[in-house]
Amino acid sequence: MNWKILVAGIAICTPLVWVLATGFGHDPHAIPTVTLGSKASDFDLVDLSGQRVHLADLRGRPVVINFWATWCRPCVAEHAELQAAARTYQGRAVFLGILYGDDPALAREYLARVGSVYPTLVDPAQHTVVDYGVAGVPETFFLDGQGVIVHKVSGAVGAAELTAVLAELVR
Amino acid sequence: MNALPTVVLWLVLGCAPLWAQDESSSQLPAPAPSTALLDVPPAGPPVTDPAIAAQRAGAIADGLRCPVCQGLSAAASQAESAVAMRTRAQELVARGYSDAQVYDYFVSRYGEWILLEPPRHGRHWLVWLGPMLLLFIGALVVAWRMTANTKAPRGLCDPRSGSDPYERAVLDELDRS
Repeated sequence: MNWKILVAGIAICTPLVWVLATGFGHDPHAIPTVTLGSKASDFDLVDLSGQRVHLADLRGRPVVINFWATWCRPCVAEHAELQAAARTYQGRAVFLGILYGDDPALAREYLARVGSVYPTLVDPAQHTVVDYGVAGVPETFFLDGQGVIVHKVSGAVGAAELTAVLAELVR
Repeated sequence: MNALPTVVLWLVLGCAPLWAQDESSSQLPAPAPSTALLDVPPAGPPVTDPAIAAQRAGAIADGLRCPVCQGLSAAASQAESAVAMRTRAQELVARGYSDAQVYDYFVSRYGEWILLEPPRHGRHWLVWLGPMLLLFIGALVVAWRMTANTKAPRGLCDPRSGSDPYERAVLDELDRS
């Protein structure tokens, strides 16, 4: 056996196997969430009915922030789940929607049709979108009473995940 | 003489990180660990000329990845999130934040993934130096093989170095005659 070739082969193949083993373990298009565990950026926005909402004023209660748009099918799909959770946790957690790249008039019309028990905020400059590291919609952030981001869901959030996270937050 | 190309290659590769360092000072800075940028003061005075702010924001967006169409820069993409990033960059530049601070801000929101060019620090050096290291190893292997080949033919062309005793005996006989 040629030991030199064997050692050289192992030396070349080991890093390749390591790269492949670690690379195949995750979606290369998945965007990392680096804001988990950090304080959520404050915002002071106006909702679709003209009411001002300042995040800092909500300290002491868990907050669920859902970035959404009327043109986004998963947002429409998760709407009922979010409304149901907001009704269940009314008084114990605050739910907020933030409109993402959409016309407020369309959002108003949509919500008038399907109903909503929590406000949707309008951010004309979309600064909040970048402050929260939002890549697309829907994305839902869960803040604890201290305003720290403790959980994030990219894509439509399911009832089971909503219940599990909120039960932990309001405990 | 054979060692000359190897020595030159050594010198070239040895200087590569220094050149890379020089380039980095004019391109993307090495981002600091996640910081809440908006809690720190701007590095300079506000930029009152919107054209200058837009130009700087455009240059910054050139170095940022569009989160939706990930092969494009935030400057080249028309996706909602890319537009939001450009707007945010321009707003921060106008407030007096330096380019490095704005990059830090985006890294603190999206992670180093948001930078189109891998930063030059820590394990990211592997991306920059890995290909050069492989090239260097390849050059060493080629140099080693060439050295081995220049020695080998002398022995192979000498029939007396062969292992065939009959052939050696015939050659010895011819020498004697």
